[in-house]
Amino acid sequence: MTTEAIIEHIRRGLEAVAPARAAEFSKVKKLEDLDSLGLDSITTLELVDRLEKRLGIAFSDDFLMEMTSARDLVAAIQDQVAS
Amino acid sequence: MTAKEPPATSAQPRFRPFLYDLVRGVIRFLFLTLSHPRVICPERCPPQGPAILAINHLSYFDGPMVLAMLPRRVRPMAAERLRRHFFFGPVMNATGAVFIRRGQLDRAAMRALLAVLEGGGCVAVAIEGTRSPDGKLQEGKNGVAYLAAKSGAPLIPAAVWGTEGIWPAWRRFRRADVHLSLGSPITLASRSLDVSTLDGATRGIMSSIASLLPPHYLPEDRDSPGDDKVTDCSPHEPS
Repeated sequence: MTTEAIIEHIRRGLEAVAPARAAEFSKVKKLEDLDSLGLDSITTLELVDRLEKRLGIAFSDDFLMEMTSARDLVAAIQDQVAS
Repeated sequence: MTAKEPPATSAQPRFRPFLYDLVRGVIRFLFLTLSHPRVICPERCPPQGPAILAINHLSYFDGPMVLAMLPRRVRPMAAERLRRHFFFGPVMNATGAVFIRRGQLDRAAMRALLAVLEGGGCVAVAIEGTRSPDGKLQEGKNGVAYLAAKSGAPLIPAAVWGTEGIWPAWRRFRRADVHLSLGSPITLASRSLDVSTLDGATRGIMSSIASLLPPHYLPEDRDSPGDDKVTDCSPHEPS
């Protein structure tokens, strides 16, 4: 799956988690845009749950604990989708 | 993201009811002999079944006060760094606290809290996420509302005050007046996990806590709503 496709999944997930910020999320095109959104941990947790269900993947708790950027998340999704 | 806490030393401590009751008894004895505790409306905490106590946070003593003064077992949530505290670490471990790493995506801790609730337990969570730096009520975080929406458990707003004066009072060989006041239980109207719904629920809980606190614990820009003042129960002096 391409980075752009994953960003699109994340963007849609964010719109579902925080519909009030949908207009802001619609401008997300790059990894850097995701990092600048200032998501709190609960929003990110719910986003991750939705991505797992939507893409049929599972992140380990340790990975989530160490994740510091959208780049980490996208790379993990690419790894899991590829395997 | 904020600064990371050190890695956890182990999984969540096992809950041992006997040890909990023993430690709770000791803490309760210490509170009764070394301070003047006052509990307002303890009956608002359901005696059984899942429940989430949403408390404000002024001092390390808040968690011990809640678990010592309420008439049921309460599992506190605590910051991971407290696990290694020379005094509160053993206390929190013995009472089956759920340790969480602040500023990180600690899904395992959220799962542990949900497991306590699914088992019919009661958890106490500092809704502001950390101790107030100036003694005033801070903004609430959405974690408590998230837990309530996920579990369906009722929320009990709880205000603690006076605990920040325990150490200063002890240094002068005095006993501080400490208070724990419970508000009316809140059941979320919606179990939606979208941020707007959680924000609204958090504002409601904070408003209830604010109504329980004395005015000087509120920030300048927050008026005490006064809609949850104690009218149907009276202060209880534990003995």
